Amino acid sequence: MKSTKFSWLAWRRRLLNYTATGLSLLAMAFGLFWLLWILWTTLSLGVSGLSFSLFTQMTPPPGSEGGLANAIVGSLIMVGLATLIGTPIGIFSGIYLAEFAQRGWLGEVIRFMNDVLLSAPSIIIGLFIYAVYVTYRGHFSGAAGVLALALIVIPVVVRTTENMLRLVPSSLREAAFALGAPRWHMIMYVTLRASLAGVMTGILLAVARIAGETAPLLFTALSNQYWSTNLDKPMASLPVVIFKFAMSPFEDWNRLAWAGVFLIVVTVLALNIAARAFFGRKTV
Amino acid sequence: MQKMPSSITSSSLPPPSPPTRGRRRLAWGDMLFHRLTQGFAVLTLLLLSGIIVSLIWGAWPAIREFGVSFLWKAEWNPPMNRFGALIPVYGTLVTSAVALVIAVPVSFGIAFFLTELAPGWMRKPLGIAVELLAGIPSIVYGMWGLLVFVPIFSEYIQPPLAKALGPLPIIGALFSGPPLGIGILAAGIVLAIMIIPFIASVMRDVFEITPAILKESSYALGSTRQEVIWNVVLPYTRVGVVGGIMLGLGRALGETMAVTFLIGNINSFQGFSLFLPGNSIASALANEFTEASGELHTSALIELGLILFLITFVVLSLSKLLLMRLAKSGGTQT
Amino acid sequence: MPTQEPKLTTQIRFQDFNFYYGAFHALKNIQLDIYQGLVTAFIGPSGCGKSTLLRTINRMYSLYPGQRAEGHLFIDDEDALANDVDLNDLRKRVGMVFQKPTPFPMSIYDNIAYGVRLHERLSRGEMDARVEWALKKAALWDEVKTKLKQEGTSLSGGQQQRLCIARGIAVRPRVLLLDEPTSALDPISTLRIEELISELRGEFTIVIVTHNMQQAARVSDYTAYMYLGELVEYNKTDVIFVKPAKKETEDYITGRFG
Repeated sequence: MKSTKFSWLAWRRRLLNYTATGLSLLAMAFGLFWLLWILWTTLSLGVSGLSFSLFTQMTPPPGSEGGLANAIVGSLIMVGLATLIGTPIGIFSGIYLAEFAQRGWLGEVIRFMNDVLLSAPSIIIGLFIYAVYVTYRGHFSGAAGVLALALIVIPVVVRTTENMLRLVPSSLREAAFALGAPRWHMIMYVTLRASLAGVMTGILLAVARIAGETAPLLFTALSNQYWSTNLDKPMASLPVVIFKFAMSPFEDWNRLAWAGVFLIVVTVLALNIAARAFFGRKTV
Repeated sequence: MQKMPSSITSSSLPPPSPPTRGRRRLAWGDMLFHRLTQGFAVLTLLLLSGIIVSLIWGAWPAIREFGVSFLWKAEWNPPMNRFGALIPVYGTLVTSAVALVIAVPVSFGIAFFLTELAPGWMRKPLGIAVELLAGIPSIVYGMWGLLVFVPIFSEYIQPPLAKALGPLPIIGALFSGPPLGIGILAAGIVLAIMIIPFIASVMRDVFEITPAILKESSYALGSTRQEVIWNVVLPYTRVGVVGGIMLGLGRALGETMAVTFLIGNINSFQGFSLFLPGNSIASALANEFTEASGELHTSALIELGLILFLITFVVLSLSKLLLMRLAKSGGTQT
Repeated sequence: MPTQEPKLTTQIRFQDFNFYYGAFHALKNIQLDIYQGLVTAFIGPSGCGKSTLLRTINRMYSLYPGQRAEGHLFIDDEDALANDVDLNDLRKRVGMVFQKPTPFPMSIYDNIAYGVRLHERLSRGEMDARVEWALKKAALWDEVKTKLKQEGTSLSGGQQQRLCIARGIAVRPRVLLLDEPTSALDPISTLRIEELISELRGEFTIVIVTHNMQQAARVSDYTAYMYLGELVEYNKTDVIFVKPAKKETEDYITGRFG
């Protein structure tokens, strides 16, 4: 800079650049600070609440010992069934959008509606199932919870399936057609197979999402203090139990809530990492 | 060349491949498969229409009783059967606004850092960390906010904030009142923390698709990093940036658990200060729905749900429309 | 016009053939006979319609709305443009290999067996024999016989392309369409594919689109030169390359144009 004269403009530009850089560093630190703090509390408080009885005993009344066994099983049942119901519907809808309805009004409408469903607040989904299923049956039930969670799975799977199928190069489709493959055969055995890793990723992410969903279960599955695997009865789930226990003033309930949060966070992170590993292993 | 087709001989062809069995079956298979997938796709369509119809149906008693005035009445009185949506709607919009004011600049900074500043070895792990955090369930944020953040917030952050900003005109009114911890500001801050990973990872993704050659040609003219981001990357990717912000807004508006823990769940209007407790649509539903006293109360809550659904619907439609417009006008840039 | 030799049999005949992409008239009034068992090359500058012409033979265009053909296309004496043509059956008789290798996301064995299973029900032993036959025909057997269970995508580019050729001939088509089959390959892999084409000649009717004139000269018996959607000249390859009838063809061949 010896040769150039001191210039206000250059000085201003440099200052602006340093400020922007500094602010960006600050933002990163700010973001990481909260996130590390949250993770740290979850881990430290959660681990201290972990015990064997967590998995063997039922949720207790205030002031006594207990575990989360009924909530864990309830969550597993509802998440599992919701995935089983939502995944095929989502995959077939995604196939329709990607392979049969790239253009055309029906495809556009469904695509838009699917986006709306995807971004709809999950509590609204709960309200919907309440209105059409819970009031019809007359009581809260695990089945209603399953339906609500399945409704959250569907749009996620539709979206990823469509996106992943669209990544499959059209030359692969043509190559299958050129051998005389009928369309359904080409889709099921070539394009879907080529995008399997991506579709699996979508399913895992959907499972991770519903594993932690609380709001849609509040007015559908409600909760259950006792062991129950009856889908026609209210069913406990980890998130709802956490909600109830965390809001309460009882200390042992709070401790159980932290242990539950720990379980959920670990599960969700594991699912996310699995999804990532799946996708990384074999890209389209 | 000008032979007639009739003179074409096919006697010397190689042995023909065996005749195809089930030609009809193949055509039928395609037809069936097409209809099957279409059926499932239409099912998703019907589900959504079902949501709208069932919400209107459920809300109908309240709509008939209160009419349009439901939207601006601030009274929420279950024993007297008088309901108005103003408080929860206000709470929903204000908490989301607070969240966006904090989250957008922070997310922008994070995306800037991850794409331009961070040394190579740092980018991937940090990027993955941000994405993983987007997957953490909101109930975790809510519980952490209530049990860990709020005590510290009311003791160490709110008083200095009130002291520093309180005396200012207009803005001061937002930061006045007793430092309760719980309230609209606390809910907004925790919401912000929740949506930062969403917005930041979308912004990072779109920043990364900016062609290197475009950035390099700007650097080649002597631009600083800040100028490259501001003058090249941001204009090139604005569509995606807007999309990411809208995504975050949609989540903030509909978020239930994080807000329910923190907003205070008070159904009366006490002032414009962000320190005061309030209520949001989603948390009103979460708290009151299963214990609603009577048909009209339930119906009013469902109408709240309908309003929330319409708000998120409008946000999504707007963002889609905007993206379409921007894509059209920005199309020449690519 | 080509000199007719008595023993030539027409396998594919285009008659008053026109093709449209929407409103764009891409192929204009094509008259062309392609002879059975020989190698026919389509050459011409980019955008002349040579690939489009090739892709009409197995009706690949039917996948895309807005693309349509008019006129006549006879394959083995049958009208291939008729509405009631079973496209799956047509494509079984007319195999195709694309510009880039397109191995399916499955094992090498299944890549070959995929097409066969669509049309025939074979026992395990028969299928093994068919796969081996096809891979040997494509001169790939020795390289892959110990790793048939590996993914098709694990092969090199040239091997992948020979795998695609093997996949195409495994269903025993009568016609093999090659759409610039070596454009994505290195010179050595290209050479192997060209050798392969010479070996398959006689057994299959081969139509190859190429932008490489030397390649056309090396592998083909007949050559069609196309320009702007029209068939400019069609004759024996030696004639086209040594003594073309039209000035445009000569300009293109000698590199004065294109």
